[in-house]
Amino acid sequence: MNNKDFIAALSAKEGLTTRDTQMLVNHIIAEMTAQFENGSQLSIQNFGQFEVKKKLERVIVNPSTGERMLVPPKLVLGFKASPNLKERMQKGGES
Amino acid sequence: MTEQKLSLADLATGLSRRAKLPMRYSEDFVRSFFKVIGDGLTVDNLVKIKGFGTFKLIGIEARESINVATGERFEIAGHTKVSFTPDPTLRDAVNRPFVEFETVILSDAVDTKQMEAIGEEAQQPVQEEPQKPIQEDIPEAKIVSLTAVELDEEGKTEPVADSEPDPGPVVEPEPSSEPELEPEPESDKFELDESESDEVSDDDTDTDSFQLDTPYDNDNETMNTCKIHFTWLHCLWALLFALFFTALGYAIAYYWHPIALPEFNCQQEVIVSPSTDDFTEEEDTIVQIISDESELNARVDSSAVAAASYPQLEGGEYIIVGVLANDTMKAGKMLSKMAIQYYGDKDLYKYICTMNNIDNPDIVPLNMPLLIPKLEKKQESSN
Repeated sequence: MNNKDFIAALSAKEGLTTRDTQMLVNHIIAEMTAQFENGSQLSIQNFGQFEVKKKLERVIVNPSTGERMLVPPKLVLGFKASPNLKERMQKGGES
Repeated sequence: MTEQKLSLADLATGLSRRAKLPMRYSEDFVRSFFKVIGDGLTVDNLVKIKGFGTFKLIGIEARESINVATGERFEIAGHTKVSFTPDPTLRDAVNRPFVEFETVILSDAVDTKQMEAIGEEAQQPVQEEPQKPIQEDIPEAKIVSLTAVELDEEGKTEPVADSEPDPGPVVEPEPSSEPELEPEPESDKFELDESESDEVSDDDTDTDSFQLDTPYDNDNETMNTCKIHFTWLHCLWALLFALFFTALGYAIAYYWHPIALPEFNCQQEVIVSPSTDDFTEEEDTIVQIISDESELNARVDSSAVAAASYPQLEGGEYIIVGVLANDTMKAGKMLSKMAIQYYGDKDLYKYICTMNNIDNPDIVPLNMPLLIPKLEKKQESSN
């Protein structure tokens, strides 16, 4: 399901035009991005939890060349599915 | 930075503010937003949203494992995992605070070279003292106070290490004369130092990593370990400094009584004499020069030949004797950062400039290949 399908499905559900839907979706994403930039955590019931986590710097070794590299620390956005969503996916996957 | 735990309602508030929608409606819309993602996943196993990211279902196969407590084998059932990969725009937005950093390749040579560089710099103040009046002031004042109490270590020298930038392995410049210098009370302390000088190299690497750490000091763990290493280094430096000053004091004492000890020959073979307290700055410098010259003459000037084939930085303390490594200028990289990486001292970026004919270190073209020069301490005669 790509972005177009997603917008189409959402607009059908909400009874809006795809253009309005896309606009609202962009607003949601902008809002979420702004919050994640502040390091906030977002939990959505029956869906999951988004959280910004800091990955520490580390030294990695390229096994083929033996080169050692220092990877800088970074902030990444992680997602943890709620048990409810997991269960739904299990059923969906089986059927 | 306002870190909060947000819920769907908070998100809906944000949406209603941005899109000027009634709160009830926007909450409804946000709820359907996530519901459609969930539904889409069950239908298609993949939902891609522009500007946000991709949700994907990943099938995990069943696997066998062993119960640690009982040793029984059991099967972990296969299940489906929901993965989320943020869109590049969102990923970069989240990582904005750390965007400056990039992966650095540490070649095997780097670490040892860094240690050497630090060692060289550490020797520097000792050898250069006669030419550097500013640096001299500090140790001089200290020597007076130190000799006054016959150089009693530990507590006394602690502040010395604090105010002094790079004492390092001070022992090295005069290792030959050191044992002779200490006939009586110092001998056990010297042994102690030798055993610790092994650890110096370890600690050096740690200081390097500390330099790298400093930009992200909100990290408590690294800070703590750094503090530990810091106090360690202070102790070590203090000890090494004390040793050096003792040697200096003896040397001065000897200089004051040259007639009494006729077997004097450039190398300092010193017998302790009690009147170390009354010396002045000038005498110290002279003695320093004598000992330095004997040191430097002992070193064969082999590197000068190699140095001739490379551009040299005028008035610098090092000469370029070869190519240490090749590097390329990339976005977010700085010459000073590279100098820290290769030499452990950002001020040495000037040598990289000289080597590569860079006029303005602030303007270096992207992807410009850079030769990292191999540096050697400049000898007195070539100054």
